[in-house]
Amino acid sequence: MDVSSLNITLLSGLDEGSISITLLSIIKAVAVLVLGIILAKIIKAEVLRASRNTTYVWIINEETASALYNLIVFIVVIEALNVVGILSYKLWGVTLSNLLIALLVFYFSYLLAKKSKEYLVSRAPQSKLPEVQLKAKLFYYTVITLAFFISLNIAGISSELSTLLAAAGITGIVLGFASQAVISNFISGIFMYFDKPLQVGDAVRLPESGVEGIVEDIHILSTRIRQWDGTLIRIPNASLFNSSIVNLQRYPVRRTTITVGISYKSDIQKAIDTILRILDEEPYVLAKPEPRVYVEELGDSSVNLMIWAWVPSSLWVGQNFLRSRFHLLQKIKKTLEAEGVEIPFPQRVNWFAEELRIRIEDSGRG
Amino acid sequence: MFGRYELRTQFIKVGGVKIHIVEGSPGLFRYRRDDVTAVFKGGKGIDILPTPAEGYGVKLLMIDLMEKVMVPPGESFVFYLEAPFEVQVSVDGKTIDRFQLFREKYALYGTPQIGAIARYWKSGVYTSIPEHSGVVKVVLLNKSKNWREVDHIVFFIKDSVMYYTEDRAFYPLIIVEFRSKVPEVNNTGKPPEENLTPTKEELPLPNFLMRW
Repeated sequence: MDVSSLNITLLSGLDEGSISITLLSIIKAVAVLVLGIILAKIIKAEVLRASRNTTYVWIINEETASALYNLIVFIVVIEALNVVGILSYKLWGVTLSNLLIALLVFYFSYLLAKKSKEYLVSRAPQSKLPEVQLKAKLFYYTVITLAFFISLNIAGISSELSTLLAAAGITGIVLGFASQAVISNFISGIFMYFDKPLQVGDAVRLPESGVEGIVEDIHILSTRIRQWDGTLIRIPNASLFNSSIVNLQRYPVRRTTITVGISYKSDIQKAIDTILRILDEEPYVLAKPEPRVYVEELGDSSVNLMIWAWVPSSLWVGQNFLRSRFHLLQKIKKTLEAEGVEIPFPQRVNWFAEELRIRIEDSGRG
Repeated sequence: MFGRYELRTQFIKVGGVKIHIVEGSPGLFRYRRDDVTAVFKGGKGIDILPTPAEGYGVKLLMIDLMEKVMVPPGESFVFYLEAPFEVQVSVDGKTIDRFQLFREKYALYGTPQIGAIARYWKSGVYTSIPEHSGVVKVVLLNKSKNWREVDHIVFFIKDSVMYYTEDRAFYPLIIVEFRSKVPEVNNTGKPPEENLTPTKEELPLPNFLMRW
């Protein structure tokens, strides 16, 4: 049989065009494909080998090796299809060659954007990490969007783009309603970038939702907070942006308030002096600004003393806070008791207008 | 108190703290101080050296003076202060313990918005080396045209070199220089006296303006 005379005819359901493929061209295409894959594997192996010795691991690594492998295989596939001669084959009015090149451009733009984003984030100093993360994400989405439109243009459907955009107008309204939460979170994420109410590593409290913990990550749509109990909570940026945020570590020091009640018969000045002495002995109660103790109110059962003590913000959060506060309260109670200052429990004195007669019955006398 | 000790079973007293080293099987040692213990093998000796009072990780030391010091224009004044320090125990450069000898207290240097936490100490002003085991020598230079006074000194201590004799620890020479109203404080990294041994390489720390 004469291989060169073997013809295969492809008919598209959408297009009237037909393509003839010879057996020889198929053999050539397979050869190109096999050679290309071998070349891709060699290059991948070389990059992997280099990645073990290089200091530029951010670029020469397994991921880059795989990306290069995919790039070569993709080009080889296009060349193989070219050899077969079906690149001019049309799918929905677009030639296969344009479609594949468009896909190639989009895929590698995506890889480039992803790599650049990772590089920017990995090189950012810890103090500027949230800012760089957001910039890197904006860069990433911009490149992806541009690549999408360039790919459409390469595919040759940019003329259809106006129709597409017109349709997108209507679709946009529909999608707008459907995805308003996503857009809202995205916009809030950008506003939060400029407003900077919190940063990665900050200890925060959200009074409305009762969430308290360390900010782990700020994404474009949501923020992740690691709570003190070790759980991770994801909060949509729109909710976060609209809620009150108490940043527990924005400033180096915080004032903590503790109320201690002493009995009415106790010496107030002695109690205040004793508490001030305890605060002075406590390492994490700052010497400056000086701690203060005031009489807050004359309560129902006790004279309430209010303690104002300034503490390092970094040590007065989470478990440290509980430990330090517990330690302080324990010491105050112990020392006040040792000094003869009574910490009373709630009590009530009842006065009777009439003299109270009490009859005691002795059940033993029958 | 400070220096290198031979590795053998012994008690070492550092201030009021007792360190116990016990040799188990040959070449194997157990270190014990209160409830801190460590086991280590070999080593050329055990180093017990003073180290800056960084506490939980602060960079500054603030010393409040019990009496303020005043200097006329163009004059200088050299004085000594008491200061806290910590003790670092290491074997061949590997730290096995670090502990406090003095009261641990901190203070805010600056304002609650832009200040920093500093280790805090209160000291008298001495014209000769005080009895205290931790000493800072301060040179106060008034290069301005007016009388200047200081009632506290704040300087960088993070990763600072220290100097020591057998029974005393010295911070490097501190220079407080007035060119205007705000003094510039410099931890020079240099020995404050002669015949002192440095704990590590003698490097100055960055100068800073003592605004508050």
